[in-house]
Parts: sequence; structure tokens; C-alpha cells
Amino acid sequence: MTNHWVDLKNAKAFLIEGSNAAENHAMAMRWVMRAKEKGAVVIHVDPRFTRTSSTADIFAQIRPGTDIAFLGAIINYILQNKLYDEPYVKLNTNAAYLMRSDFGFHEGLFSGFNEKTFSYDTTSWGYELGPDGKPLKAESMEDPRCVFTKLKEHYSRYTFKVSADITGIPEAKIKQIADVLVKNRPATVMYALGMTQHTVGVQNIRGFGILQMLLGNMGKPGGGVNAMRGEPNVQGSTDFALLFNYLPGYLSYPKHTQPDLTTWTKSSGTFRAKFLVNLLKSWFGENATPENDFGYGWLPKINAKENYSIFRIFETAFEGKMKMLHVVGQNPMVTQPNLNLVHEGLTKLDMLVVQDIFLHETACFWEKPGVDPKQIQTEVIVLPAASFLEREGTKINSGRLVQWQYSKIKPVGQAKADLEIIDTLFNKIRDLYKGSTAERDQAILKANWQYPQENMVEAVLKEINGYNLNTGELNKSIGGLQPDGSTSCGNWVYAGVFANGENLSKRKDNKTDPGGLGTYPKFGWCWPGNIHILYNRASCDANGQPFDKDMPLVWWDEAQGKWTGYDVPDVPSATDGPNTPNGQKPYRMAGEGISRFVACTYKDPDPASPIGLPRDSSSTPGDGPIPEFYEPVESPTPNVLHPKVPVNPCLKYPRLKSQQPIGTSEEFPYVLSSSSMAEHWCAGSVTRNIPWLNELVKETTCELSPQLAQKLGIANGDMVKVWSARGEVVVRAMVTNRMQPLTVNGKTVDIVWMPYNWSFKGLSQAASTNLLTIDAGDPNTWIQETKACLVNLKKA
Amino acid sequence: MNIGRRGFLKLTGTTGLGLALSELGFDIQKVEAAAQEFKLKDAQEYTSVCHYCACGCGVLAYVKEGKLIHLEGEPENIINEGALCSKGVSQAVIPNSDQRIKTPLYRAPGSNKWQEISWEEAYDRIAKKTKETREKYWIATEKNGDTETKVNRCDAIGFVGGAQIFNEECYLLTKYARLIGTDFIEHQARV
Amino acid sequence: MAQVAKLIDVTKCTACRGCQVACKQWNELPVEAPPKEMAFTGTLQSHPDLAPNTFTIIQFFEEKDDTNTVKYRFRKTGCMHCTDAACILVCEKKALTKLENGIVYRDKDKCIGCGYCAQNCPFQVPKVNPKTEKATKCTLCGDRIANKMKPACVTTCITGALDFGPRDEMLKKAKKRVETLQKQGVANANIYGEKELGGTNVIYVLADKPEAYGLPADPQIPLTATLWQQYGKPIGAAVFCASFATTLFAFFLNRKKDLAPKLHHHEGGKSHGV
Repeated sequence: MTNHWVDLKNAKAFLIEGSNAAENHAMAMRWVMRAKEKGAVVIHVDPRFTRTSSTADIFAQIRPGTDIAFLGAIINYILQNKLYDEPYVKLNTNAAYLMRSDFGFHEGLFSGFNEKTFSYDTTSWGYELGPDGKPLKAESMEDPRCVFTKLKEHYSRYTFKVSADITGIPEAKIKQIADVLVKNRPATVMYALGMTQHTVGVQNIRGFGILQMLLGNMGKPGGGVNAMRGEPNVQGSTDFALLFNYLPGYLSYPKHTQPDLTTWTKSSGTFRAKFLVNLLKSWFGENATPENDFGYGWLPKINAKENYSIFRIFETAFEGKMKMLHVVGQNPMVTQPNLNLVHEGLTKLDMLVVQDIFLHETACFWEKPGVDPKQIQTEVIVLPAASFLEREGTKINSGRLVQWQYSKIKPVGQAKADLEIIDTLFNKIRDLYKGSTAERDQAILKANWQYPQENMVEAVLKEINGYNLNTGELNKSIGGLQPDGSTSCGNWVYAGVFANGENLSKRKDNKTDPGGLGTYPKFGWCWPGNIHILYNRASCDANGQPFDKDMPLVWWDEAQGKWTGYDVPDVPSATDGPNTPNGQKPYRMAGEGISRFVACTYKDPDPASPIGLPRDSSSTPGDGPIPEFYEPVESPTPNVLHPKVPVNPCLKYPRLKSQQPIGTSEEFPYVLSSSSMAEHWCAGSVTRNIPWLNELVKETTCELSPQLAQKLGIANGDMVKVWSARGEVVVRAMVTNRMQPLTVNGKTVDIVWMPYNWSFKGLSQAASTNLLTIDAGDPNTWIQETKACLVNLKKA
Repeated sequence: MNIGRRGFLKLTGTTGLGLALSELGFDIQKVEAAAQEFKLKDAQEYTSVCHYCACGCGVLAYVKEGKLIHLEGEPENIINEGALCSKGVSQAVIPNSDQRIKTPLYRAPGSNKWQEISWEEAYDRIAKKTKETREKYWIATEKNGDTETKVNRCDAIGFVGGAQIFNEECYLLTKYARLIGTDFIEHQARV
Repeated sequence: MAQVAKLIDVTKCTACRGCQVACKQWNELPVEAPPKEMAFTGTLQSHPDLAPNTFTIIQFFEEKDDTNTVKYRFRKTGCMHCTDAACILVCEKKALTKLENGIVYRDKDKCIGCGYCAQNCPFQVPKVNPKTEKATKCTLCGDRIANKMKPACVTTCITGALDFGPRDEMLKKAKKRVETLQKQGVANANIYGEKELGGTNVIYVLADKPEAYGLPADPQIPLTATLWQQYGKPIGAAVFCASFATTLFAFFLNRKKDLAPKLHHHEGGKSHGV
């Protein structure tokens, strides 16, 4: 979330799209209701009418996977009718930057596409650069070569009519939504997996960014683009890079093409290299020196051409290459798409280690009904973990708020805290390598890894916060981190959580709320630097004064000579005023320092680097600099915008032909969307072991419209067989008016919905929806297209 | 009638009920009986954070004799102000459930059952298997254009998970996995 | 002496059902049945009706109007804690009493599970547990109130759809909310429970007419209950033999046979966990 939960109360309008917040982020509605009491308008865009829709003033039923066509039409309307916030756009975005003349878009493809590798050469997506390496700017946003013109041209195809044909939402309703958003500012965007679980997931979210920049809603209370994250510490596991392509703090993971720190810096910039040095000092301590690149060479390097995502874990297992898998607090045998492949992969491992609180389907994959355990040679070890109530430590919520958790009960039986398990395992492994001189074992042997058994949690949190290695003091802020190895920091975005020796995650001041905006700066601590609303400099004009005088957030105080306000100002330096370059960097995490309508490729030069290294590098999605509509891999209709390029052109699917068939709309005429629900959570490993929750919802159902039910002779409550190109299940039908057929490109399209929370273990058992779903993934994030695949169904 | 460090006065403040006992219209004998039986009386309290979605709602747990007897929303938490959804408020079941795994378990190749093993045995098996797999499937270098560069990795070991564990645990798990040379590291970001 | 009331603003309810679980947890109520034996209700509603171990449920109402607009309504249902309470009138054993604060209090020790309360409640609230032979219903968390906590359902309500406090304050809040809703275009917004059955100690803010939420528009004490109160109880069942009373008595006896609850009840083991 760019903003945070309590800030939702400040919104004048809500665009809730691709989210069933009332069910899956129930507490969000506490703050939505506060805004509603003051007259805020709630818009819900979703493939089905849910409990969230029941709170909405406007509900728009959308065909799964067509969000860009919907947002594109609103963006087009705003651009064509000049309804954007012009002062905001001029000051905060790259609208006036000149693009290279060889940039283009034709028949569904941007310039630079390579048909053999399914990838783009992104060079032409850059700016015209001046002699200083900085982008050149046009005199006016009307310049035909500038970003804003390219944006207008791109979306001119997205009329309300085209959008209505693709999405199934009536034209009038799209216009109504656009008008509400234009008239009620700030509006906030709330989204979840409904937007991301697509082969265009990243571009969907870029669409929100463009919309909110045009409306001037970013960096303001009640505005923002808010990803509502789905697991208790998924923000933390992302921050700490339990992801193959990052190191903690979103530092790009070293590749085989970056054998040393300099080559890594060439791509990521000196700004981030400083943070990598601090990380390496935390990991290798005194063994990390300037002479040895701070131990960079010991880190494993991924192959730049390979993908190491969870999909490849099970696919390489299937291919016999993955031998040992350690699963911590996750149940992929329920949550992964195309589950039959996951199961096949698990049967080919030598060893599976599962660390969890309940025995779930992944641990017990060899007990799957219909499978002969004798044929499965995988050794399985289950480590009993302590539940969250039985151990201490911090979690970070979706609004980036870090909170401490206490405990006064012991773990059940012999269960142990995960921290202790990981620490013990590493030490056991290190013991086995004692005295080894092999290069292979040096990372293990040179590691800085000595944690006290007493209060180990805070010791680790201190390592994350990091130290001034000269004085031994804990770091106070990101600003104090040094590039020369004189400071350490395990994750730069967490620098300051332990400022002045105080564990700030333990703070509980729920009274101090300057400005009454719900910031509560002394309750817990949020990254970065306790900034609650990201990009909040953008809420001010060029002189550093709030655009909205009624809802000021931060401002430049000329008398004091510093940025101040109700939140920590999101500026490079609190004392660099609006008349300095640092005072005009509202989006300082982009190389340009401003926000980007077109995500141009750009490396910001570092004048201080004697060898011409960049200071920072702006991120550009590999599948295009502007969101473009592509159909889902399995779609009921042709792509009317560019029939020859129907799906995301950068998509590589199937990866394993034998295991990843693609269904056609002739064989599988109905669209399946799947998600979680209020009463069960994720794989259901926990919630299906809680009787009260099973009493609320006991099984997988397939929700379908009365029209489709009538056509297929299905009555409410009947058992139905649902099958896709990948698998089949028998589940109970729930016939409901909340599902309605849509008219798409002149034809009727039926959508069905199923929750994915069930399988064969636990106190409530039912068929797994993920036997049906598709494991095609977004080319940037490899997130699967669980929100849209094709199925057929009939009465069982 | 003191229920832990908060006490009734504090509860009164947070619930906003603001009624004196005499105003509640109870038969006084019944009130006394209720107060005596009141299950939270003399319970210890602690706060944690709900373990389902990432709203980060505060929870308030009540403990008697080392057993968690009740849980509800933490009234002082800015996110939820004492409220919890159906999942959140059900979590007192977790530390009391008969379904919990209580000892390390082992399933031998081809077996159809679990056997209980000691932690020592579990750790030893994992550590030895890790060493064996690293040594057998180690990739020291890889071609980068015309040169061989050091890559120091093992593609035969994978890690999945982390969104259920705390920040400190995530950090240590990342560090552990990378130090032993793993690149297949993933968590629930996509589900 | 101040009367208390629970305010249920259905316009803010998102049916997260935290109240259902909080109620079960506080009152240590097991599930009615294991998942396989739970009936499919046709919607996401958990139980078809209140049940002996289920003092409150969220009822789900789905309909579609002529313009294809879906209406999805939720109502938390449970004991209304009536002033003119039929259950009290018909309770032979005086197990049910109206406390001065407005709570309709059930004395578990006095209850014999005869089911008269269940049969005469205009809202069909009390349910008899055939195993314990006791009628059960919402207690308004008297023990929590006595200890200055709000009822469990109110405490856990995420959106502020539930509130609890002095009845006059709750009524004032309800009136203000109805005004706001009407200003926001909810023309049919209304209060339910202000005057119904002498004024109930559970008050609703509704967005539409009561029937749309499964509530009787004009709830009445059943005639049978009034007659029983006026003629039956004073004389006593044993000597009650006037001609019409025979009919009345037969009514009760017959009804009592039908007391078998609609659900299969599951009392088994430690299924509620805590």
C-alpha cells in the first residue's frame, strides 16, 4: 500500500477492483465505512457480486482479465476531455519528457520485439537525453514527441464502446465510474490478487498508477494505489526477499552476468550498491572487506536467463533436477495452480521438509486419495512449528506498519519457534563443513552467524536495523548508512526500526495523531523511515505548500528551513528546500525523481562516480512501457484490438508441454475465476482445522448464474462436475443471481466462480479448485493466471 | 475483579460503556455470581497481531495457568480498535487444537505412515542431506559470453514459504538459503 | 435505572460473521454438526435457522430487481430482548425474566426445556437442546456487561454495524443514522424495535421494509401466549379444564411433539476447541 489502512477514512471515493475486501481484508471495511458515513462513493469492479459489492454505490461486473480495457477507457476519457489535474501532472510526472523517435507501438507490439525469444529490446523505450545524460523536456505537454502525447495516442483506441465490448460492462456505467472518479478527489484504489493473478498482472497495476497520477491522487491522504496483501507477513517475506530475484530491500539478485560488485552496480546504480554493501557487512561481518568486494563473490549467482520461481521448483522436480525441498508455513499442494503437476513434482523429490503447525496436504502428498504410497520414494520430515501466539517477533502489515508480537504461552508439545529451527539447522550444517577449504563452502564458513539463545529475536532485529561498526551504535535511519563498509544493515528499508536502542515496533501510542489523519506516528514503526504515505512530497506544489489546504499532510517550512508536517516528509533530505534539485524529487525511488506515465528505460547518471556508474536505474516492465490489453491465455473470445497478438507476447507457455495443455473455448466454454473467502484462508491448512469456521462454510462450491444453471439443468445444491484442460473436480453448485452472464464482443459469456481453500486433509475436506487452474504466468512476476481460465461443467 | 494489568477502569475506557454497575439493572446477587465466575478474572494478558490477512489487526490473548483461554481484538490497536473478523476471532483454537503437530515426524520412502522422531534425528537427516545434495549438484562456474564466471550455487535445493513467519525469521531464512547456495527461494507472494 | 440496548445497523454489515464466531467463543458453544452433516442452505448463510448452540447467525437475502440489479442483504439475527416478551409470559417455571436493564434473562437451572418459549416467540428465537433439555438464546453477554465489557459480538464487529449502550443513546444514534441514510438516498431507511413489542432491547437500523430482512412488519405476542398468561398460568395447568382451554392445552401438547429441531445437533466432544 502506498497509503495505509486507517488512511482509507480520508478518501472521497473508492475504486475497489480485483478485490473482495469485505471478505478477504475484512478490517478494510471498518475504514471504508468511516469514509462512507461522510459521503464517500464506493465503486466495486469485479467478475461477481460479493459481500464487498453489497457496500458499493456502483457495482460493475467485469469479465475476468479485462481490467486494462476498463481502465484504458477511463484514462482515455480523462485525457481526451482534459479532466486531469494539470498542475500535479506537470510537476510530478514525466509527461513533458521527450521520447526517442524510434519508440512505437503497432498491432499489439511495442518497438523492439524479438519473436524468437518472446522478449523486447527495450532501448527504443528510452528518452532523448541531453549531454549530461538527463532526459530532455518539451516546452509543452502537447509536443508530439513527449510522453504525454504517446500516452494519449496509445489510449485513443480505448473508447467506451471498445471497452464495453471487451469487458462486458455497459458503456454508460464505465462513463459513470469515470465521472465519479473525476468529481470525487482524492479517490483511493484498493486492489488485491484479482488484479495481479493474470498474465498482465504488472500492467494492470501500472494502469492504476497512470489513472491516479492523472487524477493527482498519489502522495495524498485518502489517495494512493493500495495493494491489500493477503498473508500475515507477506509484506515481510517480500521485504526480506524470500524471492529468487531479490536480496532483502528489493535489491536486484546478482546474476551470472554480474560476477563482481562493479558489474552489479552498472545495472543497479551506486545508490543501491551502498545498501548491498551494508547487507554484505551484516552477512559476512569482518570477513567482508573492500578488497574482497565485501564478500559479493561468495553469494550464489542466478543464471540471468533462467527463472527460479515456485513454478520452476515443481517443474524442475518433475524433470528430476530438484532433489530437496524445504517448505515453511506454506501449503503449495492446495494453493498452486495446476495441482496435478505439483503432486508429480513432489513424488520425484529425494527429501521434502515441511515446517508447519498442522499436517497439511503438502506434508501428506503421499496420502492423496487414489495414490499408492509404496510408489513414492520421497522421504518426508515434518518439523512442528510454534504458532504465532506461541512465539515473539515482528510482523509487517500491508500498510508497512511493523508491530511487535508478545507471547505468554509455550509452544505445544515439542514445537519450536521457526527462528530457533533455522538457527539450529544452519549451525548443524556449518558444523559438517568445519575445516573445509573448498570454495563451495566459504559462504557458510565466513558467515556472520552467532545469535544468542536468550532474546534471539531482538538480536536478529538489531542486525536487520544494523550498526555503525565504528561506534557499535544501532543505526538511526537510512540516511546514516555508509557505502564504505563502516556500517551494516540487514535490510536498508528497516534502518531505524531500532533507532537509539529502542525497539520502535513495540510502541503503542494510539492517541498522538497530528492532523487527525490517522497517521499515529508513534504507534509501531513503518518503513521507510516511518513515512506512512509514500510520495507525500507530491501532495505539495512547486513551492512545497499543500495543494489541498483542507487536508495538509507535509510542507516546506521556510522559517525553520526544513520539510515538516503530520507525516515524515518523503524527500531525499529534510533540509533541501523546493529551490534545490532534491526538493523537486517527489518520486525519489525512480531514477528521474518523478513518476512515469510511460515507464521509459532510464539510468540516472552519478556525477560522483569516476568510472561512470549510474546513480540509480528506473524499473521498466519487460512486457511494455504502457499497459496494453491482452486476452488471458485461455479466453472465450478473440482479441478485438489486435487479433494477431491475442495474449501477452512475452509469455512463455506452456513450459512443460506434456503437463500444461491450453483449453479452447469450443471444448471449455465457461470462464472460471477463483479466490479465497471470508471464512477460510489461503490453503485452509489452519482454518479448515477450526470447527467454527467449518461451520460457517464447509466445502468448495461452484457459483453460477441461474441462466447457466437452467441451460445445464442444474439445481441449487446439486453436485456438478467441473473440468478444465488440466483436471476435474466434483463440487456443489451454488446457483445465485450474484453471477450473471455478460455480453462480450456481441456474444454471451458465462462466468463461474470457485473458492480454492479446500483439499483432502483437515477437519473439512472437499475438492481442490486448483486442479483446474492454469499455471501460465505474468512475464515480470511469474504470478499465475488463477483469475481466468476456461472450464466446462455439467451435473454430476 | 482485577483482570490483569489493564483492570476494569481501562476496559471501561476502551469499551466506552460508561455505565456504573448499579445502573445496569442486575439483581446484585446475580452480578456477584457473574463476577465470581467471570472467566477472564485473574487472567494474564498479552498482545499479538492477527495471523491471517495483512491488515495487521491487534489481538489480545488471555492466559490462565499457561493456557490460552480467550482471545479478542486488541482495543488499543489503531487498525482494528478491538474488532476482529470471523477468522481473526477464532484463533484461540490454534494453541489448543488436538490437530496440532506436536513432535517431529518422519515418513520413510515407500511408507504409508508417519513415525515420531527426535529433533536431533530430524536436524541430522536434514543437515546431512543438504551437504550431500550440495556436493553432488554444485555448480561452481557458468559461461558468461566467452568467459567462465563463478556462480557458486546448487539448483537441486529449494525453499518455499515465508509469509507465515516473522520478519526476523524471514531474514534468517533468506540468509540461510543463500549462504548454502540456493536460488530457488519463494514464498506466498503469488497466492 | 438505565435500560441497555444492542444496536444493529444492517447498512454497515458486511457479513464477515465475526459476531457468529465471537458469540460461540465467549459462550463456549460447540458447532451444530461436523462439516459433512451440515445442510446446504442454498446461500452462504451458515445455518438455516438459529439452533441450540447457535445464538446468532447472519441471514443472507439475495434478490434481483427488474433492472437486473442484485440486492444482497444481511441481518444479524438473535434474541430481541422484548419488553412485551411472549417467552416470559408462557414460561411456566419462571426461568425467563425481564431484568431492569432490559435483558430477557434465562435462568438455566429453572428451565425444563418445555419449549413454550420457542413456540411463542414472534421471532422464533429460543431453541431447545434435546440433549440438555434446556432452551437457549442470546444472553446479551450479561457476564461481560457486568464486567464493563460490551457483548462479544459488538466488541468484534469490524464495521461498527453493532453497538451497545444505554437504550436511549442507541435509539438516538439509530435515528441520526436513519436521517443520514435518507439524505444519502436510502429512502426506506427505518428503525425497528423502538416501539415493537413494547420496545425491544435490540434495535435495528434497516435500509428497507422489515420483511425484506425476514422480520415481521408488526410483531405480536401470539394469542395463545396471551391466553395462557391470562387464564392458564394463574390457575395452573393441572386444574385447567375449561372447554376452550382444553383446546389450548392440546395445542401446546401437540406443538411440544414438534419440538425436534430442524437441524441435526452435534454435541460431540471438544469440537469448539477452547
